[in-house]
Amino acid sequence: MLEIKNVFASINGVQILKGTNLTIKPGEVHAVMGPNGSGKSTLSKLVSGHPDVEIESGDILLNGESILDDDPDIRALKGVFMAFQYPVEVPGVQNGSFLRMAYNAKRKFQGLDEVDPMDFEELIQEKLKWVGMNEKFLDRPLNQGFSGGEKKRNEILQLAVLEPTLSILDETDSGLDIDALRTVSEAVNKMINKDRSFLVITHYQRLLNHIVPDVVHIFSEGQIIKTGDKSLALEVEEKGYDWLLQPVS
Amino acid sequence: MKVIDFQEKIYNDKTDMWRFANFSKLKKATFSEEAETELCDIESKIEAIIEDDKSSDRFDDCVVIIDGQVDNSLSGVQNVSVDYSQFETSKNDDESVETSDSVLDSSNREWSGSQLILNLDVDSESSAETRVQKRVKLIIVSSEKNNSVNILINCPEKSESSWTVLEVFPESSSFIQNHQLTVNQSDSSKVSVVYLKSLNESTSSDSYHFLKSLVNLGKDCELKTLDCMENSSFTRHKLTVNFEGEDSTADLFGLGLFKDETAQHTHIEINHKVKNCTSSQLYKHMLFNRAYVEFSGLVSVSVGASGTLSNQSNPNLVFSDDARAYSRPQLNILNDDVQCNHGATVGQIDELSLFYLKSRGISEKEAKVVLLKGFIEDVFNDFPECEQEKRSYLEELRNIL
Repeated sequence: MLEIKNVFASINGVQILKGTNLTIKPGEVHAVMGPNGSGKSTLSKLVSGHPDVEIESGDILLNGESILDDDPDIRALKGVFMAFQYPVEVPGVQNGSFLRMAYNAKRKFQGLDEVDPMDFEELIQEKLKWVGMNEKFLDRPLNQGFSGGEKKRNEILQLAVLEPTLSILDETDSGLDIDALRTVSEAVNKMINKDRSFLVITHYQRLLNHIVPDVVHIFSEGQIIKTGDKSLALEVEEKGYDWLLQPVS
Repeated sequence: MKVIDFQEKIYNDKTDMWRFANFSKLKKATFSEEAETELCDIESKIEAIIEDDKSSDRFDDCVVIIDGQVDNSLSGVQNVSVDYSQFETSKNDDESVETSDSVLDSSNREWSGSQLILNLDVDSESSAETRVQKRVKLIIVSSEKNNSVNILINCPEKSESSWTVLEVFPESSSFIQNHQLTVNQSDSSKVSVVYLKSLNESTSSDSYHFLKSLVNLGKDCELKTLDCMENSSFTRHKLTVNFEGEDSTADLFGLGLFKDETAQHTHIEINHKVKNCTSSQLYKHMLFNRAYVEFSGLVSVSVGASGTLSNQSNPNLVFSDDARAYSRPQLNILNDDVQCNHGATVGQIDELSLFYLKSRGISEKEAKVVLLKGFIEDVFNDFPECEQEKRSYLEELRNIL
């Protein structure tokens, strides 16, 4: 599904990713944990095509094809979705219209006709239930005036509607209370199947209690320094990162 | 006043209010004072506009004003009575005190010759609860190269009316227009004024458009204005709002899309003379190529005008290194117990918002249109009748981006 091959990348002239390698197979859920400033969010920006990320060397393959030259919209249409750590408020753009526009853009890319508004209404009502959102949110401007938790739910609503093949959750758990975390995680779990992959970036084990990863990576200094199974996250929760960062004597 | 004198006097005004306007081109321009436009061409254009309005049922009345006179054959008037008042010829002996504003006033009186008075009729049998808004469209047509219209609109007590002022410009590429529009709102009246322009492809180079609007509000009145600004070689719109009665509200909106070498000067003057009045200004501009925009918003609060609330916002989106946006917020407050604020921004489309939309599979062009739709949306919120104009802006943006 996704192969990040020895990527060196910088933001504003500062090298953040220093030889990142990561392979995610279809159907796998990978978690990336790491201390603040380790480059986790840059990793998500790298894959989604954020213009601030300047790639110095290396390659990113999606289903075997390089997406380095693809703009963010093309990457999205090819199946990449990033749930933002800080979703952007877009005044004057109705949430529901925006969702339908994004959904139709994907259908067009797939050579399908635009969705019938009634059919979309049916689809969106079901997905709203998944994330525990009221339909009134569809009439509000995109993310404007939403609480932190509502913004995160809205990100997962978009994910549920657009059904990407590679989903990156960038600290989706931050700003969520316990109940919201459970609801959002359940929505993500409903999406997991053999064809869809997930890259879950988080600071805390608690999210991984709900979205159980197949593989856990520890990220530091722009590199993956340790990879393990879900028990690695538990170990980090208990011991912190220091034991991983210090050289073994 | 001869056109050449007008050019000279406007050019020579170096007062602060005009220092952002470049009149060197105006001074050199040549204008013939003879009528050039074939009226029959304009008439067919107006008929098409009227037909379009009829099919969309947007207006109750349509007043077609050709060279200052109401054209009864084209107009359809039920709720407005028409009158004229001749201006007395007067000579200004003291030319040394002439400012551009006084030149605009005197040339307007001279060129128009008379004031066109439109009195809104109110059905005296209807109560305030059952009274419906009268929707009037004014189509102002000029066939001459230097043209002035002076219109006075009287809105009686407790009336509700909307006035859409569409100026149809001459076909010729060079002209001077100097119009004045006064609205008198009696107590408890609600008025909405929308300014529109119908431009021709040839409208560029030496076209100069001056408009002075004045609205006087009585007690407990509501005013909403929307200025839809477009490309034209030079436009200056001065809009003055006088609060004469207490407890009134004025919300002024403006939206400009300037895609070529164009100069737009908007001068707002709001005079809070009495207590408990509220005013707001929201003027948004989008500038491409060599567009040049000046927004000057002056709010004056007189002694005794306690409880005044006023805010002003002037966001500008600039899409070209050669475009210029000047924002000049001004407050002149002579009373305590008032709240006045202002804000102006000059920038580009937010890159993060653009990335956010693109990351959902929306193309760059479409994402920009979506963001600009969001940018212009709140300007139209209070003007549901302007859905067509909003669509036109979006269509235009789609073409430019």
